[in-house]
Amino acid sequence: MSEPVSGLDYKKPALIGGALVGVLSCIPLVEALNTCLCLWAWVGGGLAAKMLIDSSPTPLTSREGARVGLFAGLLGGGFHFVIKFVLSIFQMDKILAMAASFPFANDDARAMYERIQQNGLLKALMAFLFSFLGSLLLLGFTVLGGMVGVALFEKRKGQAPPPPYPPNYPSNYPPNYPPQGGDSGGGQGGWPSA
Amino acid sequence: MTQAERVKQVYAVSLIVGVGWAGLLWLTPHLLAAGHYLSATALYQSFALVCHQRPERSFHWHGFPLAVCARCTGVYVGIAVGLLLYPFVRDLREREFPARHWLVVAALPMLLDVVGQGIGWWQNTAIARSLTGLVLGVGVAFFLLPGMMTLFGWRGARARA
Repeated sequence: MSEPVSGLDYKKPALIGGALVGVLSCIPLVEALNTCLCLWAWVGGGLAAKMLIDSSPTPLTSREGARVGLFAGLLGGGFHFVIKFVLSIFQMDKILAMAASFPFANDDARAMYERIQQNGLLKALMAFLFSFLGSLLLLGFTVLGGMVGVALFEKRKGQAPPPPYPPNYPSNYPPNYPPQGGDSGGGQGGWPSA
Repeated sequence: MTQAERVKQVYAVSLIVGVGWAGLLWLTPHLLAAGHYLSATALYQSFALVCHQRPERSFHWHGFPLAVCARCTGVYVGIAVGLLLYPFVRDLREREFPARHWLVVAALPMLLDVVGQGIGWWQNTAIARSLTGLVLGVGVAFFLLPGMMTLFGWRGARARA
């Protein structure tokens, strides 16, 4: 199996994957697709892995997949946390009222929910807990999405990179390459096509 | 620490996390039944991100619904089961992923179940949803563990078994 690759640019894949995870997980209705096992996190992590694979000259390992998933998850999860934390503070009354209306909520639970509704600090704490734990889930699934993305999209398993030219190779070698018209790679230098 | 010990350590941690995660699903209603409403609500609300949590489509424990629906419960339990089965099927030191078509095969029962229900071929049940989820979860575990081994189980090109 190839060894981990160094010198990869994680920025663009992480940014795009993270944006997909964070933004789509905050848009009403669209975020509902996360109920399918955190779908946007898997998609974001997988997309980041695919972009990294496309930009890498050598096969990637799941280490790079997990790393790009981690970066994307931190970006997306961070964005999600900020948005959801703010929204949760404003919606906490509604969330607690909904929890109190569940058939399994008994009198003690309703009393506790009422205490939280009357205490601003407790409301903020609950909002922090909900958004933090949710963002942590997004982060975890994005990392997994990155790893599984490498498993799915990396087709270059076991291929070694082409060896470097030996030292003192003349710059105009091989002669008559690239060929002028005719078939390409016609036996003079270059690598055989896959 | 030898490489073999490291590999076993990574496996043990992965197994604990997988089983622990599945255990959280039952802990949530248990906390609610025991009167720990704050922690139970926090857990329910967190899992709300990844599941619709409809009580009529969820298993129940102590009279309260699990943290996620039957299908998601099947997936997470399947991951734990897959992690338990893994050493009997593959070498723990293996870092290559299985052939990717196995992931598709693992997802097929669930896809068929969802599509069949959606277009009215059949009305699925909680058992069917959880079993198809279990199959997917087992498949996912076989892809996750090689990834974990690559991430944490090996150090350097000269790592020895």
